[in-house]
Parts: sequence; C-alpha cells; structure tokens
Amino acid sequence: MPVPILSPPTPYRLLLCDLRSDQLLDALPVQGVALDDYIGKTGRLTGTVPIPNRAIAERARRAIVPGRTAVWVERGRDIWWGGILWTLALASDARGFLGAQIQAGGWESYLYRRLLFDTQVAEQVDQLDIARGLVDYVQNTPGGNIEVTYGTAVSGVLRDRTYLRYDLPTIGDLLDDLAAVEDGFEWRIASFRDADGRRVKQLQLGHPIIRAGATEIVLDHPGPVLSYTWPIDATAKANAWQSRGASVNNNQAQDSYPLTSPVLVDDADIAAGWPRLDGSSDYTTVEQQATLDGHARADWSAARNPVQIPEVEVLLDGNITPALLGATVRLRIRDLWHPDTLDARYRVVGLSITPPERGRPETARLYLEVP
Amino acid sequence: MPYVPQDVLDRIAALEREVRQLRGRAQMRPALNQVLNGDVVIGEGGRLFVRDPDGTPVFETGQSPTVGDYFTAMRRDTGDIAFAIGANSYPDDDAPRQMVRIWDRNRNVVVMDDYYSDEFLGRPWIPVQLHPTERQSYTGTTYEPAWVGTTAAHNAVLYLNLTTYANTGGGQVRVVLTHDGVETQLDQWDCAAGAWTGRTIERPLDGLQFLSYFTLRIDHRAKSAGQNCETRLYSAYTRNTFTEDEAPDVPVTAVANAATAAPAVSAEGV
Repeated sequence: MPVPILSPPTPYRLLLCDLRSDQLLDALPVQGVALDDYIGKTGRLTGTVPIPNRAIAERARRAIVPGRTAVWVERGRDIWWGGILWTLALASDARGFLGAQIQAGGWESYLYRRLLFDTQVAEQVDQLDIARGLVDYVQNTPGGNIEVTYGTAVSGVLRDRTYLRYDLPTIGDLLDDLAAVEDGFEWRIASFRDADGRRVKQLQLGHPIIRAGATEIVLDHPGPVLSYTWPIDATAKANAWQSRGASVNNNQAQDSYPLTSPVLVDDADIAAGWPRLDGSSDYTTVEQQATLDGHARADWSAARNPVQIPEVEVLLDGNITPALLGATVRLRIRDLWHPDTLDARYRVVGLSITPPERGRPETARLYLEVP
Repeated sequence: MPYVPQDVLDRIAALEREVRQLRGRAQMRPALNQVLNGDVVIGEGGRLFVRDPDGTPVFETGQSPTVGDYFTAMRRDTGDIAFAIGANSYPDDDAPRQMVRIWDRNRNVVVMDDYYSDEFLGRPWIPVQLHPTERQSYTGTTYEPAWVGTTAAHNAVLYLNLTTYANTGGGQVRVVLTHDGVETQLDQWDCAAGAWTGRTIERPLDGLQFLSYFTLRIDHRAKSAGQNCETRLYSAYTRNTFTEDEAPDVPVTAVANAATAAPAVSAEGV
C-alpha cells in the first residue's frame, strides 16, 4: 500500500517493545492504522510506518523485528491495543516513498503459537484456575514469559480435564475449548495502563461472560451512529443437535464408533413453527460423556437462534475506546424498519477502527451481541 | 464466547486447526484390551502368546509354525510345559494326533489321553477290579474262579501279573475276559508242580469302549485230585499303549451324549 503523500496527522503512536522483556525499543508514528479487538477472536492491527529519512529507517529497522517485537498502540495517553508484530512488508511506491507495512496479532495470538508438550491433568478444578494453569504452563517455560497477568476470580464451576500431549494442542485452542462448554466462560487479554502507568497485558476471564464499563453509552441513529448493518444469518441455526467425541471403545470384539451426545431436540422451537434444522459438532479429543454432553448443550444453545451480529458505525470520540469491549451500550434506532424506535441494550463484543480516508472521518465499528 | 464476525481467514484457520487435531487423533486409538460380547479370531498361522517378563510363553495357542497343527500349550513360568493339546508340545514331540497332556514339574506326563488309540485315557493307569474268591487256594480239578472283578475300561491295554503255585501233579490257569456277554479267553497256561509259575498278560482291550464294563475271571485248577493250587495276584491295571500294535480295535463311538460327557461342539463362529 503506498504511503499517502498528505496523510492527516495521526493521533496514533506505536510503542515497539521487546516481547519478552517489554523493554521499549522505540516509538514510531504510524499511518493508516486499522485495528480490531474482540471477545472470542484475536484482534489484529495493520498500519504503515512511513520511512521518510535515513534516521527513521535506522530506528525502524532495529525496532521492527517480526516475531519478537511487541506493539502497543497509543492514542493520546491511552493504550488502545497491544499485540505481537508478526509480519513486516517493506514497500516502496513509484515515487520512491518507503513504508513499512506491519501486521500484528493480539496477545492472544501468542497462546495460539504455543503447544502443549506435557500432559496436563485437572481433577475437580475451577475452570478459571485451569485456564490460568494453562497460561502458567506457557509462561513457565524458558523464553515463554510474556508477562501476562491475571486476577484471582473463580467461577465455582469445577471441571475434570486431561490435556493429552499427543494432541499437541495450542494453548489458545485449549482455552477456547474449555470456555466453549456449557456454563463456560469468556477470555481475552486486555491491554491498558494501570494506575502506576505501567503497560499491562491482563488475562480477562469472565464467567459466564466478560462485562466491563459501568456507565452506559447511548448511541442514537440518526445521530452519532453513522450507519449500521444488522445481518441475520440462519444458515447455522439448528434446533436439533448431536456432538461427536473420540472413540472410547476398547473392546476388540466390537467396532469402534465415536462417543456421541444424545440427540438434543428443542421441541418448543419446533412447536413455535420453526422447521427442524439439524446441526452437529465434533470434539475428537473428548473422551468423557459428560464433557461431550456439556459441549453439545452449549453448541445447541448457541445455534438455537439465527446469528445476529449488528454492526454500528460511530464516529470516534472520547466515549468510544477499546475499553468498551464487554460494556453495554444502549442503541436507539428510528428508521423505516423501526418506526417505533428500537431501544435496546447490547453488549459490545467487538470493535474495529478504520483509518480515516479522504472525505471520511476516522470511525469505529462496534459489533454487538444480541442476547 | 459471543458470535463475532468471521472472515475467510478465520474459517481457514479453524479448518487448519481441525485438520491438525484430526491428524493427531488419526494416529490415536484407545487400547483394545477387552473382549466383550463377541469373538476374537486367531487363525491362519496366527498365534496368541501370554509371556512372563522373561519372555516365557506361559500360554500359547494357534498354528504351529513347524508341524502345522493348531495347538494350545500352557507352561510354568520356568518354561516347563504343563498342559498341551497338540502334536508339538516340546521339541522332538512326535505325537501323531492331537493329544491332551498334563506334565508334572519334572516333565513326566501325569495325565493324558492315549497316544496310539483315539479312545481311552492314557494316564493315569487305572487299577482293575479283581477280588479273591473262596477258591483262591483250590484242590479241584475243574476250573473255578480264583479272582473275579468287573471294571470300567479306562486305559487301552490290560496288564495282569500273577503267579500260581501248584502242588504235585501241577496245575492250570486261565484268564477270561467277558464283555457284552462275550467270553474271551485271554490266556491259559500250565503250572509246573511244586513251584510258583508267574505270568504277565498284556492285552489291548479289543472291542471295548472307554468306560464300558468288562469282567475278568482268573480260573485255576489242580491237575491231580486232592492237590491244591493257589493263585496270587500281584497287579491288575490298565495302561496306555506303548506301541501302535497295542491300540485296541474299538467300535465306532456312538453319538456324543451327556452320559459320555463329551464336550459340545464349539459354537465359535457357527
């Protein structure tokens, strides 16, 4: 992507740090920043560090080392985003302007790059403690400590889990699987400055969900809400569900079949007039019936209603920050579809900031959760 | 976790993850260490071994790679054979048919079916019933039983060892076997006067089946009236065959039934 010649002054600053020590390497201006952050998905940052002169080039060359450079995005005094710089594409345009295009993944991306090499067993352990134990496993290996902190809250839900080293699972996937069971939890790694001004990567664990923000933001359309889209997708809806697990047969005289959950059918949904729609999910590492059934019920519940992920585009102002993830916003829409004004509260589960373009201000897109 | 927008890259990543998990799981099986409600078949040259830690097969069954018969053998963990069905239970074993044998710890066969005869117990050797009569010492000149007894036939070969003393004039002895109403004189001999005359009789139990009854009678008489003769029995038993010639001619066994306690035909697979 060529660097715009006359880009507007960017409020963003990249703090480039050494991933393991968090030692600040440099702070560079960045243009065309687009970043997103979610609950349940690793956030991503793209941007371009302009290289206008040799001095900047020298600094950028030392500071931008894909794979071992941590990126903190500052907007003003606030940290808006943090992650690991994974790719760098140095590009020059026809006029000879150089730009370092970078892509970074949220801190969570590190957990998807770490494998479980040692079997871990948990018996009747709180699920949040299992999650913290997995993060400890990651960080207790030499070179593996990226200083993710966590709290001490517990969920009260005890789980039995055996994570087999032969599956070589990534820790991130294990956390996702653990969280995705019935009565599970949500997790993400948040970036912020603590009261002492230190940069913090904190594992947020929310049971049953992550909630944030006490004050309620009201978003009106027409008004601060520039536009919205409200997709409804029933292609994944299901009111009947069965999950398959691993084969646990150890009888030589019988064929081996996977463990299966009971077929769960929502009779009320069908009585309400919905066609029967079937769904299934596979957990080929699950060998316990109760665990598989827990997964099945969670998936069945999640698939009950057509997927709706309303997207609301708003102007970036002082209210809209990545700290909104998990917070509840009050959305009021009055238009042809909603002549009586939609007025409802939704949790923000994703946030995407798109860079300003000519004739278009910097905006943020909020992804909302429909309960 | 809430629904968040998934782009194509996310879906590819999820697919990669599933493929990766499947690649691992494809190489994993639960231990198939149970056999329940069904058969496990070992055949066509296959064998099953149970080995102790030093490798001794304390139990093995299957097809013998050398002789080719299907055998079953159980050993003590010293390696000494203890039980076998088959022809090649140990090196140089030339059992012509599938014998059943049990060994003592010094490698003696203590229990077996007969080597040459398809009928009859081989070992142990079972004593034959013979009981003295009042005329065990006798002065008559016509044959009278000195010893009688009825026995169920266990082994294939009858063995008798007896001796007779005849006074002046000498004596005569005969051994008669009766079964199914048929009398067969096994032997008859003269005894010299004033001496003990010993005799050993070894005869296959021709025409008899396992556990069918036969009656033995040892008759003796004095050749001169008023002179006595006395017959003493040293041993009377049945034993296994030592040579192929000793195998009795046995009638074809009737259909197996509960009275003969024959095992039911294995229902494996049929």
